[in-house]
Amino acid sequence: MRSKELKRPETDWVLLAMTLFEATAFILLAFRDGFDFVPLILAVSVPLLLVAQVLLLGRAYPHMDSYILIIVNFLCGVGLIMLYRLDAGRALRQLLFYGVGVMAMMGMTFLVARYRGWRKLRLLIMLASVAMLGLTLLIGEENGGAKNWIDLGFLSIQPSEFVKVALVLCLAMDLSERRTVRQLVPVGLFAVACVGLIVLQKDLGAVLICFLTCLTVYYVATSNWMLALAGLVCAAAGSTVLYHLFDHVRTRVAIWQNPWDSPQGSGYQIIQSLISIASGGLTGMGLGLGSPDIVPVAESDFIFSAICEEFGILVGLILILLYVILFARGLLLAMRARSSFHALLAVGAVTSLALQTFMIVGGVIKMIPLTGVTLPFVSYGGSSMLSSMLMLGILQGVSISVGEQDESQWRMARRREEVPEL
Amino acid sequence: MNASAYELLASIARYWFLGLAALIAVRLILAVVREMRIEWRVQREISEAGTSINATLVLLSDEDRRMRRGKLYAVEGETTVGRSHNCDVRIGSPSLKGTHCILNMEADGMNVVPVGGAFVVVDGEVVGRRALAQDGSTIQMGGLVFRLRLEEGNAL
Amino acid sequence: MKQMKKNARAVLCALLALFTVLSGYFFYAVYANGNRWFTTPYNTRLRAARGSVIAGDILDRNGTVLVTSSADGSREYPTDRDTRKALSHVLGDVEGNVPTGAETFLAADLLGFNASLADRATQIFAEKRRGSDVQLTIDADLQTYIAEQFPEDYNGAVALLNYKTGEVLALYSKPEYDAKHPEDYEDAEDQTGVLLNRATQGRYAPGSVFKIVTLACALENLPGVQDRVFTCEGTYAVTEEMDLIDTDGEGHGTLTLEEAFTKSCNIVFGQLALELGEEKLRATAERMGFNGNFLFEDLIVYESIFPKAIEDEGELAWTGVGQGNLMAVPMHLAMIAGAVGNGGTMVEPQLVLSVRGAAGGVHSRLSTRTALQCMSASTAGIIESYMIETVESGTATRAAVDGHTIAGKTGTAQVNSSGGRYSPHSWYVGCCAEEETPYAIAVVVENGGSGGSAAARLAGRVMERAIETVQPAGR
Repeated sequence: MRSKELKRPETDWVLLAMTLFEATAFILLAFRDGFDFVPLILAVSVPLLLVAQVLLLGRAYPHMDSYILIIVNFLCGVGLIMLYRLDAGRALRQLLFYGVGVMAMMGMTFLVARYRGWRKLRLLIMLASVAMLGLTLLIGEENGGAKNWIDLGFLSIQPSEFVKVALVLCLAMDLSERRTVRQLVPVGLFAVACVGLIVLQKDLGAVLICFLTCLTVYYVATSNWMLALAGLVCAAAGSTVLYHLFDHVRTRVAIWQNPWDSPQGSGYQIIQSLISIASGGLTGMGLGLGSPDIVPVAESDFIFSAICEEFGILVGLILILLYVILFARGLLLAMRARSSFHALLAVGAVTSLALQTFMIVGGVIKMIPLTGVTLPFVSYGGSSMLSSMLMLGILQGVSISVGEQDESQWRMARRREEVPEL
Repeated sequence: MNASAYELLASIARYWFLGLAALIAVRLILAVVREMRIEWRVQREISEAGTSINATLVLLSDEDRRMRRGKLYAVEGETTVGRSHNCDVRIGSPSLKGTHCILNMEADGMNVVPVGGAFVVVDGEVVGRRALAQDGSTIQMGGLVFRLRLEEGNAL
Repeated sequence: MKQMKKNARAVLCALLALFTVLSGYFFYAVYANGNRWFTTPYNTRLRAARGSVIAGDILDRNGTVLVTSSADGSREYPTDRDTRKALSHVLGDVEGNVPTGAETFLAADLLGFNASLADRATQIFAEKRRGSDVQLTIDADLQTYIAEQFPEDYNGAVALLNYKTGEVLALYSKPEYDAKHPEDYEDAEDQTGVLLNRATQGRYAPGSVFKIVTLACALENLPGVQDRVFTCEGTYAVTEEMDLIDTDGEGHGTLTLEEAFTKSCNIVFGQLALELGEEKLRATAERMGFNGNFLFEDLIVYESIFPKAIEDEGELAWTGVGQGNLMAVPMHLAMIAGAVGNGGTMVEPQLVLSVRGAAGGVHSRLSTRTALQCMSASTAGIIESYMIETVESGTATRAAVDGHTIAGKTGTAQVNSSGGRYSPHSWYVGCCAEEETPYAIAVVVENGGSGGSAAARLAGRVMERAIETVQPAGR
């Protein structure tokens, strides 16, 4: 247990506010069309899930980062509220994914914090990732121009989501003890294979995230900014090639430049998204009073527009702020870590999540061309929820090992002060 | 419930939600800032007390004879040794590479990992990928020979 | 590890910067464009709301109801056909045929999307919700008068605003549309021409009216230009192929800058443009709002265009006298004339006087905001005195109003269309230089003939009527 001097700031108020937010939103939804009791169950269970995690996990692992934990759970809660308002069936499925995600997060946390045999798993992870991506190319399903789904009958999974986690793990493992270019050939080949296979699937959002995550982790590990810069130039050149090679990339860019050219055709999605955000204004239309369902795929890619329409752009900005706190906490962890494996894990997980958030929020407000990625923790989707939760697990695992190390060293420092050596 | 009544309720509720969201944001920022202060204080106290030092390298000999014998180098957690100013332990000997090797602590000793085929010898054996050094081991990097002293009292 | 910590800090800074830019852009984009996005015809929310909400009334500045909703929710436009047509472009229609009218651009208020809590509370037991009423700054009587006085068989536009408060008093565009009988226009050859509000969206060559901008540029960049003496021989060879020609062709002889302005001498202003150069002329024009993207709260005004690149000296000289590839929007020119009267400050035009919620609370929406600081007060003073002289003894005598100080400038815009030679557009812009009645006006009569007399005559009558009848807001 923590000693008194290390007493952490209280988050009771934040927890209370989050609980109230989720509960009242679901209670309000219960009265939307006549009366419905399902939201009332959610009004109890979702806040309970949040509080239970903070209490139980916080007890079991006092060095878990409780700020990251409550932020992520709140984001999941807001996602569930919006999903329930859009499509009740999907919200219940998402609740299941959320529960499974929390389990996956705990497993990953335990592995990162306690497991020492990562090196043995390295090859297995690499092979499994490449195999999954290859399989997607063979038997995958097309979805919005990208062939990135495998349909297993009872559920479909998106392997590129999990490859992101695998990439972060492998990069951290290899870069933590190999620094020269020759030693990095295996992990380099793995990264190239992943990015290449995802390019073939035409899942450009995932390509960008994977590539930039690799570059960032590589730069942080080696401080070799020349090569990182060369990588960026390569990325620029590669994007131009992709731009000329793939039709749907060209369309995406054209839509971004002027969606009003074909407001009922290719520009429909983004224009409806902008209209949706504008309808909300500062304080929003009110939960259940807008029509965010007009925007196609409002439940996954465009959920941020839906939130802005009904809760207002101020709440949208606060959500962005919560993401920023989450990412900043993650990178502060990286700065406190005593081993490069942990530092690089944290940097990789944060970069991947942050890029994804930036790309989709920037996309739906027409700041950058739209790339079909999900908003981590909020959007509907099992694969997305699971992979985001695994990333969170990585961060929590790093937090536990960093925290435990800090505390034992700090205790020793205290003891030396109190009992001067004879 | 009447649709107009729901509308009134929902439009009142948006201020409630906004207020809660603002409360969450403000309290979180305050808490995170305080937490960061505590973390910095802990780090400072640790580094002042020196309890983060896991091991010490004692310089035994130097083939160029430019270094003072008996000089101490602290190993804190994972440590890079080399000539470049990016390294945690920087030794200006021409026999070392920019980043010569990485030292990291394990439960049963200190791991020595040479970088990019650098010349490292632990207890008389040339190190390939990695080697485990114990308390009292001699470690040679380039032309420098060290004796390792593990600080057993300090946690990993 | 030390270096890795530094790198992680760099990544943190980069992420913070990235998300700060994201939030800033997000907030700015929604703030600046929100209403524009909301009121596009592709917003199905508006269509849906029209079925479930009784839209509020639209009133003019004197409280006359212009548009109201009948019991079944359908919209009723003025019964008098002339009034209805005169106001057609300002009011617009529920179908969004006239895409920028009040019916669509102010839909958020009319349909109650912005309704306050008190407004919503009064609606709990109502069968159908009611939107808010909107009172415009427009004077319907004045607008009808303009429609009556506008030369028959000619098209064009009139924009009239109060240059101190920004209230738009009249915004007239001809050909007119009839929201009650849209079927009349379905077969029309040039449908968009009818639906376009020429006062705010029509782009015309400004002709000599642009000399106001050239004059401002000369006054600010050429010290002592007022005391110089110019000679005009009727033509002036700028380049071998390009001659600058004066409208009369006979030449004005020796003349001062003031005389050159009041007589609208092309030769002098062409030479001034050459002396100033492209950069300075463009800088002045852009300070006055050319090439700027206007994002006004109450109405959409298209931007006027100063060419991005001027090919040669000949084009530069012609640009200085308002030809070349210049394009100007009548409303914008009225705002420039207003800035001259207002000591160089251009105010943002406002179309909404107040909004009355369903609960009866009236929220004033009139707030004077500066759009641009166009020129120094002294420059504005000199230009104003020249324009007053133009109305007293120069080319714009027809715009004079007995007993009032009127400043104005006429213009003739050559139209070169492939379909043969057309008669040039007739322009007039000006303002009333008096404290009590600070009105600025721009009139364009398409193919109204050279010399600007058609526009000046109409402007004089409209200004006289406005001075006599327009009541201050908030009565």
